[in-house]
Amino acid sequence: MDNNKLENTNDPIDLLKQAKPEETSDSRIEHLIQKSESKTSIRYRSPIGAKTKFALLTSPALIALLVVQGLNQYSSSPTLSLDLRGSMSPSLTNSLSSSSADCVIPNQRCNGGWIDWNYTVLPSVSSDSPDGPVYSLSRFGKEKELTKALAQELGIDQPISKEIEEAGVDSQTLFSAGSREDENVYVGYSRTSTNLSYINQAGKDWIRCQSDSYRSTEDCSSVTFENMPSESKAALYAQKLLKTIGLTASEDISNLKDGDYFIQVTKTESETIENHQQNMLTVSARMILNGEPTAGGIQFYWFKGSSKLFMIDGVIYKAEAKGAFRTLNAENSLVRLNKYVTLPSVREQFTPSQKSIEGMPWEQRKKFYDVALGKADPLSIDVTITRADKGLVTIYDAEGNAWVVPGIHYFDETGYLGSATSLNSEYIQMDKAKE
Amino acid sequence: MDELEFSQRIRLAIPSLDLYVGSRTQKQHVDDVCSDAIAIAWQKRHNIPQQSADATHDPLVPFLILTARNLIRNLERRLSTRNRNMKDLLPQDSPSAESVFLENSNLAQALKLMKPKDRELLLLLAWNELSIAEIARIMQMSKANVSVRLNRSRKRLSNILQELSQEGH
Repeated sequence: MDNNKLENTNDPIDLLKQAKPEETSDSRIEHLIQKSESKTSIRYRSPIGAKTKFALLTSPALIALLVVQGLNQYSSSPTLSLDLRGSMSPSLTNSLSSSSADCVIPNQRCNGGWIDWNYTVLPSVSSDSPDGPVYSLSRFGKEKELTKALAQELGIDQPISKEIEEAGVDSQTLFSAGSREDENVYVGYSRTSTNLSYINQAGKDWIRCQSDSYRSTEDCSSVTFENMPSESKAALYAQKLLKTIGLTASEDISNLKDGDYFIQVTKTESETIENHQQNMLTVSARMILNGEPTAGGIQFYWFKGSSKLFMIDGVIYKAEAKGAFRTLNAENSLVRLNKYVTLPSVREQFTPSQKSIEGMPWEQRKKFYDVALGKADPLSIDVTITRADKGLVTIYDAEGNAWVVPGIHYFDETGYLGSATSLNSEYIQMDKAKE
Repeated sequence: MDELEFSQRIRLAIPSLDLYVGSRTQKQHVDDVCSDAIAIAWQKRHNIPQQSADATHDPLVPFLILTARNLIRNLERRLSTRNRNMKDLLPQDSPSAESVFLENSNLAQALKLMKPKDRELLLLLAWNELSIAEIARIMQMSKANVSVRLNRSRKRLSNILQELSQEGH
């Protein structure tokens, strides 16, 4: 910064320049470069030495190669090949819920080698391992038509525009209607998924203007507060919106078939959005496969003060059944729990076990930060598995493709411990050095 | 393009990227966003112009910032849907942005009270030292709009600082 160029020392720009943080250190630059290398299959030359690069390639942060050579039950030919190296989309989009060996915040699904769980499986836990279905997920429908249909239903009478947005290594094409300053719906697609989003900018005023500090500096006189819709009305509205884009949805799971969406409504209080406490109504719609709701899906949000929908956010897929695949039983899949970089997403939030990071009291959980920061040794925790439920989990490969595969959800007597994929090891080639 | 040369350009651009991302998102996401932006730059390096002799900045800097901005926008959209799951997990000391850096509490407080877009404009100017044209490209606004909005933001920040000062903060 050249302070001599500043003409007015009371200028806030001047104050900001004076408060500019110190330059990024060389070691931090190195750290970011290395981290970026771990996120792409491109191995570019950089001035770091070969030794450093070797260490990087063999570090737990990369727990790299997991190749699933799928064999359906009728054929010995590989039908699947899931390469999870440098799996990028999950690391960013699920950065708080998926595992990464160098993640900053420890949580149930993000260990990073700071905790060693010693598992014992009770004899009462089933040891069977029936074949399980595998589905590949891909883009759903024609995005421009989806945008048009959604915009029409939401009352946005604007032409459809198209733009390209960088989103991870996979750029995303967006079809949008409306204005970013007002009300905007868009349907984007990458090579691997179809993403729906809608935001009603007026809703931000409802949220902000409930904050004393915001009200004191901004004009909130024109903001009218309204009541949120009832839970049943919100569910019906979400169903209607989904119907306009060709999706069948219901709150009654028994009425649904594969590819339909199961709807659940939750009303929560004291959510923190932009640092303001809020009440929120959420309608979640999750795709049904093999009779059960899968992870992810679409969410519709209303906030206190808004009678109109505030936001839609989510991903929709077309699912293709790949056949039935042999699986490991609960005991043999256990080795995959809390071990791999890319752990599966699960369909719902279970009540966490007191032995899991999420279920521990905060005071105890804080200790893991010391381990993560290198101030303490990894901790050892004994766990007894009392229950193992078979189900489906979602995983992502290195290309960002999503797959729904057999999985097992583990529990001890106090709650949920985590989930693991249970595809038979014969289909999986794991980099032994990183197990 | 020579990869060693691009690698060097990346190194020189990282401080500006790190500064921007650090001012726009919570600190636990900074490394992820920065490294993703760098990875994307490597993939798109053949489309990023070379720095001309008379340019103040390497065009790689606004490219990285624009990419990071898009990544953050995507991240925020997704995080908003996950707020209910993560509220317990976010430690109290995961502040966003400026408060990490700013020792001047009035300035930190004043920035907090600005609209996010205005705050972003001011910091792109003051911290990243980008030109109006570069800011316009990043913010996807016209240059005229950026100038007008910067002027207003500067005044608004000045007024807030004055109010805070009068309140004895």
